[in-house]
Amino acid sequence: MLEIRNLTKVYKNGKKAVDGLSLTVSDGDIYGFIGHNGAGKSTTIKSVVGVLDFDAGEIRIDGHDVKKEPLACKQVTAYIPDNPDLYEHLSGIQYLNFIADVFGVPAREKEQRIREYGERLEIVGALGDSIGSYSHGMRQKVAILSALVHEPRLIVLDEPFVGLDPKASLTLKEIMRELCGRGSAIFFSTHVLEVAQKLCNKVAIIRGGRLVVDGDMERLVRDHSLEELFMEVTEHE
Amino acid sequence: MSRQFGWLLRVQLLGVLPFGRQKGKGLLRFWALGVLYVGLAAMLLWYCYMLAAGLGMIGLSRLIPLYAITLGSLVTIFFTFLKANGVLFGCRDYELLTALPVPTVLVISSRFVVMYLFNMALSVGVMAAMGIAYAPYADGMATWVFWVLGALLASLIPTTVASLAAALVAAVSSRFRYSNVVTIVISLVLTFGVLVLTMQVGRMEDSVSVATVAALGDQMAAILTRVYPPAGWFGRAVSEGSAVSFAAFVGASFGIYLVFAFGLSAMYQRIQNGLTVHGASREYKVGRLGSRSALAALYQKEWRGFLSSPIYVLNMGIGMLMAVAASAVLCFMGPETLLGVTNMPGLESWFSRLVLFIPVVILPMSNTACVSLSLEGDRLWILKSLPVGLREVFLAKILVNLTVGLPGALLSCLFLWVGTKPAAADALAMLALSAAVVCLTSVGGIWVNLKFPVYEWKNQIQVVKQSASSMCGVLGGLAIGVGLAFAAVKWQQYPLWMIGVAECLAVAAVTLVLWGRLLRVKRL
Repeated sequence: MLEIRNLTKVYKNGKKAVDGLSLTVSDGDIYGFIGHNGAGKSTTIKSVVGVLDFDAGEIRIDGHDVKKEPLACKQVTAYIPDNPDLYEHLSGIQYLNFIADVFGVPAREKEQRIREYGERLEIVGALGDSIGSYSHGMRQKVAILSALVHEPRLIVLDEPFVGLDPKASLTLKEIMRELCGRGSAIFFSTHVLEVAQKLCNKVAIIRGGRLVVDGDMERLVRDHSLEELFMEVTEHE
Repeated sequence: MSRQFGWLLRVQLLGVLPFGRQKGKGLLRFWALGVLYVGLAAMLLWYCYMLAAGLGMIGLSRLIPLYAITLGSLVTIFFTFLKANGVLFGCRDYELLTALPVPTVLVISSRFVVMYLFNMALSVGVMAAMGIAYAPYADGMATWVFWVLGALLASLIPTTVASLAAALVAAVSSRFRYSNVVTIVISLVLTFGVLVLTMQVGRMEDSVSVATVAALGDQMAAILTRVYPPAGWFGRAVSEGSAVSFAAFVGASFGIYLVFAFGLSAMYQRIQNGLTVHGASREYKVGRLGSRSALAALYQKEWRGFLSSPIYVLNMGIGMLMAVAASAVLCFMGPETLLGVTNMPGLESWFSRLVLFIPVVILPMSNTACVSLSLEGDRLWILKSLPVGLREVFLAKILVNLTVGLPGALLSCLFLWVGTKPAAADALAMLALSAAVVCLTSVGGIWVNLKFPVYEWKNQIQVVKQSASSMCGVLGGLAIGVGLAFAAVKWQQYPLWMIGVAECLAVAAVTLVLWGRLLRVKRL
């Protein structure tokens, strides 16, 4: 579903934010992407979803090159950034309607998905209010709902659990598992290693823009926890 | 406390001043724009100098100090009235600042002082230009001390008055659920009220000749002093060397500001909360939802964004309202009356042609497109991650400007047709030209915004009032309109419809060229 080959992103000051990173996310994967602050996680994620241009390498989503066929890639992808800055002048339902219409979701499916996921995330009642009046958690829920409304094949999330209450976090994890069960792939960054260990079937650890470890979770954490592995590869290399 | 204020002011200034952020081509554009600003300022100052020199020549040199301080104040009001609301209220860093252990009055003052410093630069320029013309009539060192200090303080009262008006509008609006709409309506009523009053004053002054003006010098001074007493105090201080009058001027300037700042700080939080905090109702139920095309969805999002922002509507939609209002005034007053009021010799020969250019000249001052990309700000990631091409994104933003401009063009032209009864061919050509100019400024607005984008902002004012793209969009549009009107006056030997059609074709060609350039843009 997602193939990243030798991704390199150099910022204007000459600093390499991402340096030759390669990884593959297959259908049905819940792929955790972990690393210190400033390791290059968000840069990688933004490059994948087309928010940020990159200097070298190749990213393919569902077989399409993100540089050559950006719209085909975006049509099957949903992205939730670490800080969900949404249109504050719109109400929650207006924003969801906007996203669904841009993705060409038929009215019936749109209603059904907003109702279903909205009720599970306990946000339906507030959808008539302006996003400007929402708390951080409510914005996060609307951003998640907007990602789910068009049934994407690839969901890319940057720190999705930040700001969510415990129940909403649990619901999101359930939804992630369900989506992957239906063949979608999820690629997300997190600092919560316990969540990553329990939720993901694959994991990658990035350090200074370079991939230091990646592979099946079961294989990597056979003898120790993900936290121990993370500390080992990021502190001692 | 002064240290806290210093830090707050520094943060505000860093957000406003454009220095140090440009590199490469951006730096070149930055300096090119700087030259343009300096040129415009030079034109304003030259006008001020000539006005003062003219007063001196007709023996009214005693009025120069009064005119200088009044003109400096008017320039301040003009640049502050529609800006103050956005600077003082609705700021995205409000919560962060109020959580800091600093008095509210310092938060307000740091925002106020940024406006004041900008206004001070303008009023100092105006008073310096008029001061040069006043030099031959100046008497004694005290005159210059008062003049220099007065120039520094000239904008304090008008900035306070404009801020007070903004605070009152915000205080009333904050009581309503749809506070944005209320702010827009009240501000528009106030703006047009001030314009009508100004026109009334203008009519009184224009109807007298230069000789009469010279004879009525003292009366004019009395009127100015009555309308704006601090101007009178300043005038007396400069012309008579009166320290008491100057002390009254300084005292009034600081006194009014302090009363305003402490008064507002007492209710600042309540107003801010009323404007920004609306409790969630939690009563929504998902009903039937329609579906639209991607372009329609983008357009509706843009349109709602425009209507929800008083700063955006009042600054970027005002040209349309002014064009319609000016045409309506002409329609109801009749061109003959207006011609009589202006009392300008030689105007009759091209007046009938010129009035038909009202929409062409004024409408381009409405340009929602030229800041629309910048206003995406932190939300730019949404557009970048959606499966829509830049063509649709640009089109949606252009359509919003057309929605504002085209009905304005039609209404304005209808009023002008009724008022001036032009030949059918002339009328249609001018309608087509007005529409074409709106199309050009819409497309050009996007092009300009791509050249001067500002995505990192804390307050919409930084984009709508202070950015290079807004300046280029509005002034560029105005320059195009003036150029087209000038051409019609210059080539009077040709029928108006012929000029109109030729200009329409030229405008359409430039629009298509710019649109072609927009289509080649790959990324935002």
